[in-house]
Amino acid sequence: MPTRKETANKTVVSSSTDQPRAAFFPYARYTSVVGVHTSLVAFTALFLPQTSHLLWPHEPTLTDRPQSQFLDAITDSPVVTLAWIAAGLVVLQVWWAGWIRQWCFEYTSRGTGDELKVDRYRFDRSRLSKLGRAAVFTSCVALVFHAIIVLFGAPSASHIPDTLLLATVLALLSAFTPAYALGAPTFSSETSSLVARLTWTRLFAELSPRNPIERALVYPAVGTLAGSWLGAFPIALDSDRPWQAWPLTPLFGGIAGYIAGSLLALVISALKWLAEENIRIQQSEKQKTT
Amino acid sequence: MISREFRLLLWVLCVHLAGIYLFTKGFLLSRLALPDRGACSSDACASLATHKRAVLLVIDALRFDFIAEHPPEPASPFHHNILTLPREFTAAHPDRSFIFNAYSDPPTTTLQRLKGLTTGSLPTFVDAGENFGGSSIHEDSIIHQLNAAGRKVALAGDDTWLTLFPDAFQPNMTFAFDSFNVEDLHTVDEGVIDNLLPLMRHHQNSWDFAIGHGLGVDHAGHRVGPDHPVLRAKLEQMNNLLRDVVAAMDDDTLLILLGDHGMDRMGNHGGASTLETMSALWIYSKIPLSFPEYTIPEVILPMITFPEATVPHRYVQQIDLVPTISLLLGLPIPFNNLGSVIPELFNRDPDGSSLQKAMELNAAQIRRYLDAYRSSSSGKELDAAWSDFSVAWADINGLDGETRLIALDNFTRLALSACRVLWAQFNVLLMGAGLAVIGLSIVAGWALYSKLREVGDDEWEKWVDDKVLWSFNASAVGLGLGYLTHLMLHEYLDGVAMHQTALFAATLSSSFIVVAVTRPSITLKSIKALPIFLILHTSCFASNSFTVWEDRIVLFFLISSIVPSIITGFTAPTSRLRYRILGFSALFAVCARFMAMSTVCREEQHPYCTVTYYASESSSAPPIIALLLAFPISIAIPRAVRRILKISKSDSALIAGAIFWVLEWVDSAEVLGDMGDVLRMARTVLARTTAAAMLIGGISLWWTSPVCLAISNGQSSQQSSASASQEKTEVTVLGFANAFGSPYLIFWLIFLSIVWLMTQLSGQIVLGVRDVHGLNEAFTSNTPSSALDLATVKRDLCFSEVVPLALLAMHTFYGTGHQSTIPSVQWKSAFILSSTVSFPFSHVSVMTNTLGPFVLIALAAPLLVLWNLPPLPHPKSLGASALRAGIGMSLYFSVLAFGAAVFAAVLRRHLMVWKIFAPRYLFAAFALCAVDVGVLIGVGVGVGRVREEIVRVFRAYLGRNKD
Repeated sequence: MPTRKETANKTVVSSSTDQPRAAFFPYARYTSVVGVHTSLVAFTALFLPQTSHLLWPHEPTLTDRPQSQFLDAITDSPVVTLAWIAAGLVVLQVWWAGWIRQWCFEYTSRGTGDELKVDRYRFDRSRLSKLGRAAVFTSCVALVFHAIIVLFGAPSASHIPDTLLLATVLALLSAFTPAYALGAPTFSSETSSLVARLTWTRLFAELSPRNPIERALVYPAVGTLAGSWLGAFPIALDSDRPWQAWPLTPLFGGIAGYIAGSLLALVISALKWLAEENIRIQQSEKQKTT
Repeated sequence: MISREFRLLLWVLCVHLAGIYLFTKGFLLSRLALPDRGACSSDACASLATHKRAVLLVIDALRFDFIAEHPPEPASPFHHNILTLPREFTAAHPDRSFIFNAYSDPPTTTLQRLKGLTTGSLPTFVDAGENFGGSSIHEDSIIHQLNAAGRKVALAGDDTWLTLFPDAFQPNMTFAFDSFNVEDLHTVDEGVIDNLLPLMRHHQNSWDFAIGHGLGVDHAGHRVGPDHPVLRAKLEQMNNLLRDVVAAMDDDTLLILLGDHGMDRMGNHGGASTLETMSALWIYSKIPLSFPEYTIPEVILPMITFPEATVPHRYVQQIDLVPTISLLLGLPIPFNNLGSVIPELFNRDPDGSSLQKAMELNAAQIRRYLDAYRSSSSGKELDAAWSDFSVAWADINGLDGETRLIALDNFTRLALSACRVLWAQFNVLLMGAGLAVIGLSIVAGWALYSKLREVGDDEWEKWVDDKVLWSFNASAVGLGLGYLTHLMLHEYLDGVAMHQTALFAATLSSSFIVVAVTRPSITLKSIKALPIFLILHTSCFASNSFTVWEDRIVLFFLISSIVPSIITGFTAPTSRLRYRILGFSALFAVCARFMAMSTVCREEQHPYCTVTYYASESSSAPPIIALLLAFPISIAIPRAVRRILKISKSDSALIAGAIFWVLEWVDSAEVLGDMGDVLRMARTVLARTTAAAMLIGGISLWWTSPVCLAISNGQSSQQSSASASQEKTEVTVLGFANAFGSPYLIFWLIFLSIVWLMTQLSGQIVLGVRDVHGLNEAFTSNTPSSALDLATVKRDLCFSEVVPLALLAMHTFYGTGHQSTIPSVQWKSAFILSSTVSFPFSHVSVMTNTLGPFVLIALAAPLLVLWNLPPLPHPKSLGASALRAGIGMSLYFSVLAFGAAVFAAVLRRHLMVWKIFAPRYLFAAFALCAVDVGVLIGVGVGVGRVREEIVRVFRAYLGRNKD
């Protein structure tokens, strides 16, 4: 638990930012959605590929190193596994990003009741166009990721669908949600796009999120990339297992990193919130007594 | 002349050399060679003799499948089913002709194999290095036994035999030919044909043992690989030779045909892979040797299947030949022999009594040898296995018939396998001493590196002088201390020589003193700056699979190591700077990836690796694309450099390097038929002229007038500054900002062109790609901090800037067609400066080829601090920063070498130690020396000279201005 002194310092810092001090953030709902979301991501990664065995009867292959049927379903064809996971994640991320966008709106919108109503109407109406833009942006990021993965040493001439699907999954996990919630950064010179660019730079280059929503965006994204970077390590091992096939280890490393990042964001946001609540209560008590 | 940087770096080099020397002495195997000679009590040996004479025909690198009846599927049209004589005879006369798949113990180099083949012992790894020099055999061997029995030995072929047995052959029957001219496919073979056949046909009675050793097959393998029509022609020629030899044999002659080792898919050898160790063996006699009345128990006739073949085949150890030939000729078995007799050749009586007798003689000889070894000075090694020997020996007694044969075989094979394990005779004391020296030198290097940053601009020269003085004094004291220690403790220091103790004490104490007087402080900052990639890279050596895949891992780390600068790029304040950093980083990454496309594969990387450095898996010719790109790149590099510097003198040298290798390709492809000699001449002349011109001309020109080479900077800045002072206006001075960087780059280019000459075409392209973009850009992109504050003169070098450079050195090493294995050394480059192996030239060119990437990048390290550094106001700390860059570079590689040494020492009983860990340690040690030398030349000589000259020029200018 953080000591009182630290929390006091942090309160001072957070109150100096431009965010309203007692901005509403639905921690209870956030917690439950994160729980459901991460469980579903894990389910998508592990159990969705099993459907191939249900649809197409599986004939056990005789290999030197037998493994369980569960793993077989994942390792039989990496492309099919990747396709299942990518398809599952599209649904999951749209759902999750919808929540984040919603909270983002609630967190930042202020004004009178009528203004709020207009804002909400605009917000609801722009949903589809925003979704389209985020999709386009995510595909661009996927292409960039593909290039980066090849730069890191992935085969450049073979395994192109594998690498591209891996890049898509990583882009879905890391770039889609921020693009939908914050708006994708563009190169235009309007003020709004400049603000978007600066926000993206602050979040993903300086890695300094300031509120629970930003944490829920940055931590999983960083976790995904770090996880898939670490996931490349077991490929070199010479144990010759089917699960070492490209790109299964970076894929599962990335998903694990995403889940870990999501949970970490939840824990840190919750701790901060508890600490702030504590201080607020103490201060109000002090005011009462004086 | 000898600057203080030079002295300090020289000290670093010496300490590293001492550490490497001590560790290597303790780590690389040595086996005690006993001087005893084998003898037979009565006529026991002679009673088993069947032949008076023998012909030993060695076809170098004759792999088992070349003569196999059932070659691998699918059979190659170039080397399978061509040398068919042995199998024809075996099919016709199974009692006279025997084909075996013979295991040749690694290292599979000719010299070691000949030692093994004649003595029956197991040559050790350290011998591999002597292949160029050779050394005579003093142990007992077949040749010694033949000489002792007064039999005459004739030789035709490879002169390695003469280096092993300088005075064993009849002078009038010795026809030796040079063995190391790999490009010469025919001289040695024709020498064998022209001299061996007349001996057999006309002088049957003047010799008792004739050796023919042809090298054509081996050279064809090295030069063009096994899948080439040249090898087919060679094997056909050998088949005809065999036919003639068999025709010239009489009934008293035994013929032994063998390959001293195999060859890998590329046609190279030296390692321990299956293809290298499976050699062919064929024994033929005109009188029946084997009578099928007695059935030999199958347990003592092991079988093995050649990779991808369908039928298993009889499998023996190559050293089994030693007792077999000895007994068939009626000689005592050589004393050190560990081979077992080949049972089929002694199967003569219905009850197997001859076989039993042969095996008993064999077992008794091995028992004698083990006893003698145990009572020798290093007999303790056998302690662990001794009880097993005793049990196996006791088992023999009391048994009879088949079971006795099995027990005898069991004993001899146990002795062989136990000795194979045991002759890892590590000297743990020396290994520990070496590790301590290297380890402490890392601490000292780090202390110097981190303290140099804190020492002020003005004091650093004095500070360095101080440290150098301390270190040299301390090593002198240490030398004395070590001497005294050795006198007092020598009985406890097992196997440690006097000079080794002294060396250890001297280097250890001087490193210790340097650490003590430097007093580095460990702060939170220094812990946070912990080089994560260096740690990860070093820990790779703990695992065989990570060591095997190091080439890919280096690329992975190299790209990862520039991620921080990309992130910095996004946060850069101005968009110009942002695009610049991002653009250069991207270019750097793309270049690194392109370099990674050029690979050679180690055996362990199959099947996940394809060779792109050569035209195909089993060839050593450059791919067509390399031929096409070599010239454009060699022209483009000077252009690019000229664009940056507007001056260059090295374009002709680069083109000459490319011409050399194209000529080589033309020659080996035999495009022009008989032009061989002329081309060879032209190549040698070209190579020597280029090397000499670059070395002597380039360096002397640069030395006498670095400012002349930097004239565009120096003069233009002078002129424009002069005009500026007249007109009293500010003028942007061309070349002023980079006054230190550009002359140093010219200096670096001289070395580039030499390494370029030594590198094969594909490697040249890799070097080119790296040079044209990678390197120069690396300096800019990897120093975003410096790009951010160009105005500040004092530049702080972080270790994270050195890491990409060091990784780039490793990456270039792998990109230029190298791997950390002995067979992947490009021996072809030995013939750049001369057409045969001659002492300094071949060694120097192979070293340059292999270690060039390290030297080059180490030389480039000072550019990290020199690049874009304006000369005015005079940067006083320039020398200190350059020194730090040099020490940082050397630190990275000393940690790598330390890691490789530690893991090689810890895993010294690992199955893969001689295949993976020991070669990796050797390459790490060589790389460290190369980097130290590069840094020494770069920082000690290059930077000092540039600084001196620039100070001179600007002092003159300032002086004139004042007037």
